[in-house]
Amino acid sequence: MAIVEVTGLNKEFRRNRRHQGAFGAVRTLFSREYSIHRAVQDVSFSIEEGEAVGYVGPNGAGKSTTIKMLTGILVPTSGDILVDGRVPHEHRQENARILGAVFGQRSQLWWDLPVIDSFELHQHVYGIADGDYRRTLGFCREVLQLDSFLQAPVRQLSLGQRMRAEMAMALLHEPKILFLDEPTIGLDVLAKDRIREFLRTINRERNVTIILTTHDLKDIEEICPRLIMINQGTVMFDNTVAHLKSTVGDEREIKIEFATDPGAIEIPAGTLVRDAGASKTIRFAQDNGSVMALLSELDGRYPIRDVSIEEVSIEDVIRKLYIQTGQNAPDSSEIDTWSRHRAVTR
Amino acid sequence: MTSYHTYFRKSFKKNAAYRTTVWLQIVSSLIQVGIQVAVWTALIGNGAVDGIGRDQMITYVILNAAMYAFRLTGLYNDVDARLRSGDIAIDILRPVHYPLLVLAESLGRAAYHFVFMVVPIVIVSAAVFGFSAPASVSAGIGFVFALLLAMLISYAIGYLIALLSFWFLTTFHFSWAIGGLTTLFSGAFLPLWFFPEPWASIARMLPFQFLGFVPAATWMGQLTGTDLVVTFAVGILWCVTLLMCTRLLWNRATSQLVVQGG
Amino acid sequence: MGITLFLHYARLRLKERMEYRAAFILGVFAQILGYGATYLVLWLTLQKFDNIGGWNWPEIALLYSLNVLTYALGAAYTYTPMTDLEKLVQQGTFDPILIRPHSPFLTLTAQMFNVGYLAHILLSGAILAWSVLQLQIEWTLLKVIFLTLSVIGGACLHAALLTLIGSISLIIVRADVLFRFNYSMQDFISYPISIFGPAIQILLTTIVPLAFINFLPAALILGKGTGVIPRDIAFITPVVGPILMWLAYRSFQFCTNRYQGAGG
Repeated sequence: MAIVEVTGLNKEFRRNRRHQGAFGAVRTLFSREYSIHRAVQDVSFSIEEGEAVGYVGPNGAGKSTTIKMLTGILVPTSGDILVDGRVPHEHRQENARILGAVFGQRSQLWWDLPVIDSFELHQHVYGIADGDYRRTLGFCREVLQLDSFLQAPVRQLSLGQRMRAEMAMALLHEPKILFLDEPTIGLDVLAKDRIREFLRTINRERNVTIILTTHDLKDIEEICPRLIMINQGTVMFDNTVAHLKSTVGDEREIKIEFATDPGAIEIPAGTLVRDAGASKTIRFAQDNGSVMALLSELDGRYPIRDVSIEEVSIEDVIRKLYIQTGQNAPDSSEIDTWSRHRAVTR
Repeated sequence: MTSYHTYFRKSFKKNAAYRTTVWLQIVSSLIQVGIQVAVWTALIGNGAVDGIGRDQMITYVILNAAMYAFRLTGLYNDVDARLRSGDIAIDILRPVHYPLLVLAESLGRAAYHFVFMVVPIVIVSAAVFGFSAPASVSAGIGFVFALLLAMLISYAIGYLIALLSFWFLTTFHFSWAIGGLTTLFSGAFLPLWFFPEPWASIARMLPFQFLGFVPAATWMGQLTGTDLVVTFAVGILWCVTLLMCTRLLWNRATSQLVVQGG
Repeated sequence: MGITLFLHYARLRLKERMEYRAAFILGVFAQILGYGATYLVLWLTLQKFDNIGGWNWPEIALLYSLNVLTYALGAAYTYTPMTDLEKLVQQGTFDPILIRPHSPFLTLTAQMFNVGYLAHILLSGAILAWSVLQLQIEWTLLKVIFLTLSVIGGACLHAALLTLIGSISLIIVRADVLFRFNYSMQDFISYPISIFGPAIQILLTTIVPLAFINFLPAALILGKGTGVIPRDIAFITPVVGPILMWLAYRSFQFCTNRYQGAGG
């Protein structure tokens, strides 16, 4: 049975119209005027136990609203959610025991106290038996390499160390599902790698179901075989990462800096998009190792000084998906700010 | 001068923006006046203690409720907030003298308090409980002068608290301590004439009496002649001393800020 | 949530404050000075006037310290979470509270326990003890139990008021005015409420039952007059606070659910 089952999920926010002037707050309180914002519209998906799923979309797409409903923080306007067989917002406290959550931007650790104090409190809050606690902590200490800063106050930790501590704490009560909201945001490459490695490990070895929101497609590629893409409140893609690539075409842009201007060159598998003499940008589908082939071929003829591969942004992928599905692609600026408002007055 | 005027106006408008707050604050102040009137009625009754009757105490209570609006001490909150957010570096770089900017903002707030709180509170309280005009023309003039002293001294005290936070990084301790001293020695609740010795003598030497007792007593004609002159002299002395302290600390604080790199 | 868990939270908060030991101790002194001043003003007044509405200095000291002590006990758990609630919601820090295995109210109050009220408790506890000794009350077991329950009830009452306003702040913005309004209402019970008009006495026993915090229990113990309010009503003191606290708890739950339905 699926551990997360979502059917026809909708969430509308009512925004009360604020009144100005004397007793404005009082009038706002009794006012019936509001506007409706549809944050999530008819979303359905199901996640099996032990899956790792990336939940992506631009800002304001409804990502965190969905996560908040899955964790029981918000109540859906309509539709059904079952998490481990229970309705999250009706069984928030029971559900709390089987889910762990990491919010990249908000620490759940005690700022001025050693990391271990937060862990011990967590043990008591969740009533974890001493033996289980020691075993799980031992696992986390080893895989996340916590020992060097376990006794240090949280305020002295680097962001990477803090995130490792947050992950460990979220796992102490051995949750079945781990929710992660932007777990790698702001981290350097090394720290990101370490976090991704850890998430892969707990997903594969401990069978923890992972649901992850992110802006970084690399997070998805390295952790989650499956991807749910949401935009403007609706699911627009739900399949494997490999399938996404074959759908949108795995096009990448490579910028090559030659030692000297090679002039007009022949590019077998790609097209030249920008030509600035010694610096050329080439776009091509990367499906069969043709990058390396191209580079070695070029390097034999013209000395190359530097190569950089442009990361594909989620916004780019979404725009491509739009084009594929025959809809009009929104501007990238619209993706971030677009939201539906409908004024209602009664 | 025009730029300070702008800060004054901005501060006035900022405070006036929340009108629900204003209403509740007026009601709060009226409750306080009502409570104190009841207390003095219980204490004095229909007679008089040391020549002071209930009606005079009512005037004293209303004057002190009004005086509360002219206390600029609270300005340390603004400075503290700006110090925490780091905005203070921008303030210092502006082509205005920061202490005067703070004064202009505090005066803007005081003006707002005067219009939206003092006036309605005095009118309503006077209608309900009764209120006496200044004892004489000279008492009225003396009151205006005392009010000026009150504002300058409270500004200096508030600013000193703010400046100390440059070193202690919080205004918490000083604000509590100074708040306590003000409660006790300003005479805002118990007039200094009812203080037993040695408390009366101590209170008369401290700057806090100017934040409540002195303006009210001057208005009521309880402080006249040589007493008044001596009191004002003490006030001016405190004013100068405190303002010199702020200047000294300000110079140190800015150099401190430069060393820390803002 | 068990009592040991509550204490665990409190111990961590104390440990946290001890990271800045000097600042904490100075803070305790500063607050003792701050509140000490209000006691001194009352003392000076009673040096001059002997009594307020028939209550002399030790009696007023009992009345006032009972108010501050119960406030400190209640506010230590509710002041910080309730006054910060609006901010917590805006910053999203309230969300993790909702996915803990205990009720949001208990999690929030335990987690944001404020050790800073130690100053109030030390000063007012000492003054309460002093006044009780001064007053030469004929103590019976029943009176001791009654006073103890009254302190707990008063703490609940203060906590209930702060919680009610905190709940409202989940729905309307700028609830901070209400907190300030609450504090000016509290000024009534700095004095024996029999000095106020009958309407106010009734108001303070019914709609805003602040009289149960200190005036009614103190009057019962001291055998004082209670104005237009029948003194025997003081016997229900131990239940008024808990009942109000329960109502406040329910309203907090209601507003939390509303927040969950409406979203931040």
